[in-house]
Amino acid sequence: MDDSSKAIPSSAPPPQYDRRRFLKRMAWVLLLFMAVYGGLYAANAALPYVGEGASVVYNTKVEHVRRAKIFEKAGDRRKLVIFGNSKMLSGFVPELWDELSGGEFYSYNLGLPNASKFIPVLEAMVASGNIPTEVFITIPWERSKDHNPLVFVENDKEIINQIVPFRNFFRDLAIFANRSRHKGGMKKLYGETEMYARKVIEDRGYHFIIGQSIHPNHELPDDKTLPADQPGRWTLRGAPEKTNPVDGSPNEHYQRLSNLLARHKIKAYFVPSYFRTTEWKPKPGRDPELVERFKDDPNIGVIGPDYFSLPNRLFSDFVHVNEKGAREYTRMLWEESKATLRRDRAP
Amino acid sequence: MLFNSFQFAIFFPVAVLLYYLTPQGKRWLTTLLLSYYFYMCWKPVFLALILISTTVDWLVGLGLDRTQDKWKRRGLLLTTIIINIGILSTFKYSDFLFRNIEEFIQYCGLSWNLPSPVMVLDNLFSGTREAFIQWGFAAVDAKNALAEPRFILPVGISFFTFQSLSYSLDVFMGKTKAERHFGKYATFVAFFPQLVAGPIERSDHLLGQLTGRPNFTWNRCADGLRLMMWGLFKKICVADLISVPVDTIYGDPARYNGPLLLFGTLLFAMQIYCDFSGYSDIAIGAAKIMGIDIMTNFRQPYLSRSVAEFWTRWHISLSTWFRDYLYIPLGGSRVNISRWIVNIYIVFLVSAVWHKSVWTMLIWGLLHATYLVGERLLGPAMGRGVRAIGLGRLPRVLTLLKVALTFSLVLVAWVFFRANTITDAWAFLRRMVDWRGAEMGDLMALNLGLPTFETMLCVLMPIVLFTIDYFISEKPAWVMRLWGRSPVRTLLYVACLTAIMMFGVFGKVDFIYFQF
Repeated sequence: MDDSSKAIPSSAPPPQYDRRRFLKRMAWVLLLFMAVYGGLYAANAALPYVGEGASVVYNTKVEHVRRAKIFEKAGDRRKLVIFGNSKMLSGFVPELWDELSGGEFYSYNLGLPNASKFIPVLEAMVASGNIPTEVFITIPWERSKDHNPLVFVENDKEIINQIVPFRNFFRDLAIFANRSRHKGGMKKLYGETEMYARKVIEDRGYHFIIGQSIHPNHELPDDKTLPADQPGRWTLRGAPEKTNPVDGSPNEHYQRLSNLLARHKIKAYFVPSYFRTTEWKPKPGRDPELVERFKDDPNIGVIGPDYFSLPNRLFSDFVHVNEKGAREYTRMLWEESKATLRRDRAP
Repeated sequence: MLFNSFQFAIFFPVAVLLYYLTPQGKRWLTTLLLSYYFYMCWKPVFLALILISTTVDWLVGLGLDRTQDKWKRRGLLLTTIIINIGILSTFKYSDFLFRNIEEFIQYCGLSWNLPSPVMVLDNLFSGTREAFIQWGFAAVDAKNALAEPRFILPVGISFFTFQSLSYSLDVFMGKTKAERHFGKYATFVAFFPQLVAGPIERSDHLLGQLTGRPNFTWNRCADGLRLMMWGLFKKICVADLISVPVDTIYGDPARYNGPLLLFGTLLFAMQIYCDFSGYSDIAIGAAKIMGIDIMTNFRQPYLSRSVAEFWTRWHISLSTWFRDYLYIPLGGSRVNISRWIVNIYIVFLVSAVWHKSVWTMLIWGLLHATYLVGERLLGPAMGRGVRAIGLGRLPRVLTLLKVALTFSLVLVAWVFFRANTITDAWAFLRRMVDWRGAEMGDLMALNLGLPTFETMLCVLMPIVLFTIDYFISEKPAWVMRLWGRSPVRTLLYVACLTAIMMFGVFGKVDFIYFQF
């Protein structure tokens, strides 16, 4: 009943394998595959700025905190890092924060496009010697997953991204080639992208997402709204869990974070993100559930409400603030947090 | 444990090594332990169900072998059917039954909320609810703490209960002798390559292989690796990639126009084929490396020239199971036409229920039954019509038309297979054929849940796959000539591995048929 020869030609002649031929074929396949792997690895490393803006910014920032000493110029100032997604990337201005703090802080922006996890980035930072004294969190960690003790490998996606860091190379190249048609050619676009990436590093992680801005002066008109906007309702950030709600076992992500914070004497704070005033109703006060959950936590505190509400004109698109909006958000964040930061002065 | 996981990539070579290092007489034990470990990686507690099914069928087999009394034999067979179908029904169908009874009662004007099957058992035997939840057989909906707990469907339950049941049926019908060794029989039921999603094997084909000398050759090893690689490509480079736009379109069909709905359904047709046949290829390949032959499950089904042919090419192990254990005992095609029609509808309704206990699945089954009945009743007339208009002299055109018609009929049925409700399915079909106002640019303009590059891959990969399948099925000599050149083979292997590496979707994406 073996009709599997129909799926791919199989045991019909040729080929006929004996041990020698089989191993020879395997060797050739593996050799050629490793050559392809090596070629793609080299191409990807040689062209770090090929790709769409978000992935270039993401890779540039993550690689920078892994390799460089980002707090080299901090001296003995307090070192603050803010984590979040592209809202933070375009929202927090480190230079302004340092100025508002009167030089007390040296800050860094680790908002990353499409980011949903920050703990691995913090771990990588700390491992390379870039240890902050304070960390601002605007995205939660993951929920607990039921863990089967018989399963010893679970994070397939992370593994493949580690083994094959150039997985997006073809995709990035195709997108890059397509974009370059409207941007004066591939060489010019590559130069521009490289310039943007260097500026992100110079600005300590801050990046105004100009690519998505389509309105005059990069200001979203006041009357612009989305069908999904609900200005009469609040939205909840939600309090990330410390334990698995089903069996009470510790959430492994929270444990990792807590251990890291305790080991390196880092203080973490949940801080407000931001939305348009037309998007969600302004929410005064701290989230009581969040406050209650972390009230006795020695490493994690809560500052301010879940989000600030900003007018449309401070936004360049429906999601991200423009440069004026970033300065306003940074200023509001400082005003909201300065008392707590000074009270909880790090040792 | 999923085939498309690093866990399996580590487990399988170790399993093969242990398998061949074990002396032949004890090899069944190694296979059994590996298979149980494989299954327990989903949820250890569900192993209890495999053990119950295995024990019942083994004992029934022995009992059937020992007695020739007609009524005792029927009693034993009935016992195994009741227990196996009972287990399957409890986990798979009880919720559906209770919900529909409740809806019917409410439709009659009575307001009565029927508790869930778990709660009914808890009312009868206090403490059952907590026990089921604690052991992992039932769970509460995480999004609704007030909801009653429901049974969790064990992975592969439809497959291993049918495989185990087929053994008892074969012993009853005298097709095979009972296996006296419990461990060897248990290995047949739990053989890991085909445990959770088939192919559903028969005892006379598989049992002997598991207990005999494995048929290892380097050729078979190469075949097996090739099949596994091809299956993995189909699963993670095609099926899992396509699943995103399919879920997007079927999740909110009102947003999309006719061409996009058709596109979504075409993609689903490719998704389900690649997902299931990919799994089967990996299963067959893995077994081959272990020196075991298991049956083919798919043979380029979308190139079928009739729905009848489609069912000889799609999920072959299940269709032959129903043919041998339901259709033929009902009389098969050796009955009058009215009885034959009834038989066909029974078989396809049971097949639909086997898949899933939802009304849309029943419509899917009814449609296929209707197609087969239509083919038989209208076939002669259509044949005369074809000859009358001269199409008989254009065999290639005729074949193309037949393939296109069959595919279209199957596609309509897939809408019911995939849609959430019958209402959704009807609305989907009505809008799918309404192309007024649609433009080519619509396809690119709307977000289908994937970036543009990946959306392009969703179109390209199925075309590549379909082309390969077409040549394998229709031009085998040409393929063999090409395949005979070793540089070509090497390049194709490397291309496949590169595609898996670069475009494969990694991370937990279950196989579609795991929900059955």
